[in-house]
Amino acid sequence: MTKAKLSKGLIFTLLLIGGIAMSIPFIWLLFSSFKHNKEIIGYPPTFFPETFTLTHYLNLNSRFNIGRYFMNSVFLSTVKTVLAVYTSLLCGYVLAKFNFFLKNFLFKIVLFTMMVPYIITVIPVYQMITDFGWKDQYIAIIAPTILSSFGIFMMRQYIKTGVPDELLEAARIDGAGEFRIFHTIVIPLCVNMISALTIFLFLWNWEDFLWPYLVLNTQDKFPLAVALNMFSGQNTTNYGGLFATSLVTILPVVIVYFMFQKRFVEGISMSGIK
Amino acid sequence: MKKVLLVMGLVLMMSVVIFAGSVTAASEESEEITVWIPGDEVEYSFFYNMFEEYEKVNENVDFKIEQQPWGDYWTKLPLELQSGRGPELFMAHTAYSDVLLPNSKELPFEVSELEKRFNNPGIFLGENGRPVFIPLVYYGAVMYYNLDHWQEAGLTEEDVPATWDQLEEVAQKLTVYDGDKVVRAGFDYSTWYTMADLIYQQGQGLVDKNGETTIDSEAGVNVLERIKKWENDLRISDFTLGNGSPEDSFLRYQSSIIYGHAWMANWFSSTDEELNFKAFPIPVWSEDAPVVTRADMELTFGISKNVTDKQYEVLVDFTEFVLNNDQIMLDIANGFSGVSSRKDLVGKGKDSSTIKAINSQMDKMIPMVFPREYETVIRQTMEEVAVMDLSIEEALNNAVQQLSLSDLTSVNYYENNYEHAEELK
Amino acid sequence: MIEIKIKTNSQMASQKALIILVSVLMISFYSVFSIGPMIYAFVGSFADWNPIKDTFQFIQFNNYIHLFNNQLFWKSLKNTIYFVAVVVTGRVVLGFLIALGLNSIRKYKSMMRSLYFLPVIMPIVAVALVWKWLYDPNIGFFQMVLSAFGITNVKFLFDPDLALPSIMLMTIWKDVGYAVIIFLAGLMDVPQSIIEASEIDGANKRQQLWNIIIPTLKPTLIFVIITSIISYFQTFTQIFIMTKGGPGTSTHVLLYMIYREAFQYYRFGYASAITVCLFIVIMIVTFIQFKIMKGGEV
Repeated sequence: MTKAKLSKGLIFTLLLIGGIAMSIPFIWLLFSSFKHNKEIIGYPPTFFPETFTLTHYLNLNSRFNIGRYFMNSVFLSTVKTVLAVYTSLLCGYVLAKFNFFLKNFLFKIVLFTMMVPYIITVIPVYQMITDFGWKDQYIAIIAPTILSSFGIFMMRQYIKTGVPDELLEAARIDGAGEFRIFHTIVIPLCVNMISALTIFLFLWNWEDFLWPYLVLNTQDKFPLAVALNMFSGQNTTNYGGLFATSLVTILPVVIVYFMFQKRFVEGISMSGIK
Repeated sequence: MKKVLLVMGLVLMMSVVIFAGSVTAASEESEEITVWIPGDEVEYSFFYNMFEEYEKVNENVDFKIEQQPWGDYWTKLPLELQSGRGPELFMAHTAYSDVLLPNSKELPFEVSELEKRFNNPGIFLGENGRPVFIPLVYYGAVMYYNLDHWQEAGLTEEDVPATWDQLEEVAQKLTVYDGDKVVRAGFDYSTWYTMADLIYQQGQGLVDKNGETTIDSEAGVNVLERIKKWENDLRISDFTLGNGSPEDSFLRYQSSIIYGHAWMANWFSSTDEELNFKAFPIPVWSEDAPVVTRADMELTFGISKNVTDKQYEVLVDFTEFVLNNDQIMLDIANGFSGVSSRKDLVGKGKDSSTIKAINSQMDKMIPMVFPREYETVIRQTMEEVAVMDLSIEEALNNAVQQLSLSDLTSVNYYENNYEHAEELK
Repeated sequence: MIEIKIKTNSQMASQKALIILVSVLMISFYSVFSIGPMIYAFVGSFADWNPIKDTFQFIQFNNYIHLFNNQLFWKSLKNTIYFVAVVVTGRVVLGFLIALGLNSIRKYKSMMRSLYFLPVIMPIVAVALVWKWLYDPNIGFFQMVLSAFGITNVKFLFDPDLALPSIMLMTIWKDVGYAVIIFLAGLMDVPQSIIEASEIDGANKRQQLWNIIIPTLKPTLIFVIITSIISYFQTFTQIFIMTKGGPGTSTHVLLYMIYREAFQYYRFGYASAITVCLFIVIMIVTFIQFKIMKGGEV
């Protein structure tokens, strides 16, 4: 048994070393954000701050309206996620439980678009958004993600087996309409899947960069990722400021993660199960 | 059409979302003008001040200034103007003039009239032969050196180099090593205009009659060989310092002499008060070089082709106001450390080594407008030789191939307009 | 599917309404934002399509001819494939090993899991900006560590041979946690009874791994590999933030080339031709993938 114990200990140590290595960039960032700019660019580099300063955090708001960008990100990610989760449920339900002549065709489209790189649509959709006059408006970011092929697929697979036909049948015998059945029976049965998809899509939307970067012009409308890129372009020499700002954009998700750790892990793992 | 119906249906569905978006209400009394500018009040205080001054005199005009970061600004502005949106007034730039010109309104001024008071006001003409942008200030590349490093190495003002050979000698004394690593470069050249200028200095134009690049000419090869010498033989430079940007390495005290640009002078002093630096003119390839460097210019703000007649009237008046206001014109020239385009203001700028350097090389500066693509490719070529150790031949082949889709005829046009054009190949 | 026998008229109507609503929603969405644009891009790839000049003229195969003669395209394709191969392998292999390790420990499991998972939720823009500094050849963290071992003058993002691997390393660091979590969930499905039975039969750990664990995880593995391939073929943000394709063209990937051609040089037609090529490459790779994995149900 000692041999097994030894290998267990070895595995644990290796994992711990790996885990610490994983967090080093974050720790480095944390320490660096408390250094004076002079120290950051000094040679040779240091790991711990020689003199500790809060300047970068105190000056944060003067050139980077973090509250505004944060709210923009929250708004965009929330609206996009809620819409996509709801439509995924609706489409997934219909594709899973009804027979109609377009069904196979629609499901094939869902599968096909899951495989297709999104980039192929970027240029034409950009041209369309311009022609519609939607540039620099949130609708340009929200509209192309109202449906999520991935979400529809996940929901369809889940509802097919996770929602018993007998239950739906019973409700129909009781005289319930399809929309009521959907809202009062199907949705409550999918709570786990909903929270999984919500977390998954929210993370995706939260770090989305290229599309908002292309279609938004007004600074006040930028989400965090785009604003951070802008900040780094404008403050090429304010190293500490950049570090503090980066840290502040990372922190909210980290806090949310620790609040809902279990849900996060469930969410991610359910995205891979079929 | 079916598609139109689908789109309409979609629009209907999402009308809810549209309402969630913000709607800006314009006040009816005053004329609101949206202005785009790629920087903030610190960087472009003189421009922000210019708008304030005008608003003071004209209470019914209200400028709404929107900032964009530099790189994105130039990508987005032409597309926005072209699609009928975008700002009414925008900061223009020579490098993007080819895409901005068709989307801007001409000013109702006669070039011949302007020429009495301004230098070269007719460089950007519209379809009707009237100016679209008028230069406000002329400036360009200069060298900066760190006075403290200079002193440490026992150098004085006497040692300021006038030729590249002299610069190499000075830079060798300034370079600091840690083992085999260059910790502080004697000279940081890592900007695309080093290569462009050094080609010009040898009397070679950058585009031939057919609009094809001449980057692979003998002059181009010479420049790349010299870069190799700096990197590998003399070891006075390291392209990677400051992440491949001379101004960043200079601000990080990682380089002692840099190939810089006049606008940087004020930025350096405002970013780091302790940085003790001065400027000197760009050294030359040989005494008889027909060009020393390119002349850059800053221009009057562009008026979008999408403005209303009333807005146009206001903006023309605004442009006139700026051109006629001595203080504003001087502030702009000083802000960029350049020379005012107004003849009566030349020489009245503030006393700085940067402006002096620009003044001294003024008659050997070729007014040049480079397409962005050419800049990108030149920089890429320099990187391939300096950092990637590609052979010069291979790097130049890549460059020629990448430029095969680009329209470079405008470069040829500006080269021919240069007053010493006959000395260029 | 159970045929519904007793239905009132209103139920029939609501069922019809639901089906029609979903059909209309899906057809309109996919035709406007997905299939339609794909056709648009395909058609546009045969045109001189420039939004600044406001042109859309068919020029036959010129875009493709130009593209296939452009060394940069082949270089970008090569870089992209290199990137995908290394990062997918790294993510899957490391993710699997870490998941196996985490699965075997009991104490501090959730804390350890968090350490590996946190980078997944950090926004890629922030991560790329920070890593750019970690890689700084003079004052970066990695330089500091290496110089402790007497190794100096490593240029990371400025070394043509190291630049892309450096970005790969960062990407694996950021994304490995996602694979870990999915594999961990998959490992829960491995029936404990079979493992115990095999132990009685005298199977060693390695045999258990190859004969029980990996076959059970096969669908999960296929899922992670295929979604990773598709997403890494479209890597953009880290390249855009960290190197802009440099030094020279050593980190030029297809998506960066598309971005540059379309949104900096306004050559929409030419850029569309690249997207069509990328689409074909991804389809081929996914197809081969399915063939190799034979019958993994996705």
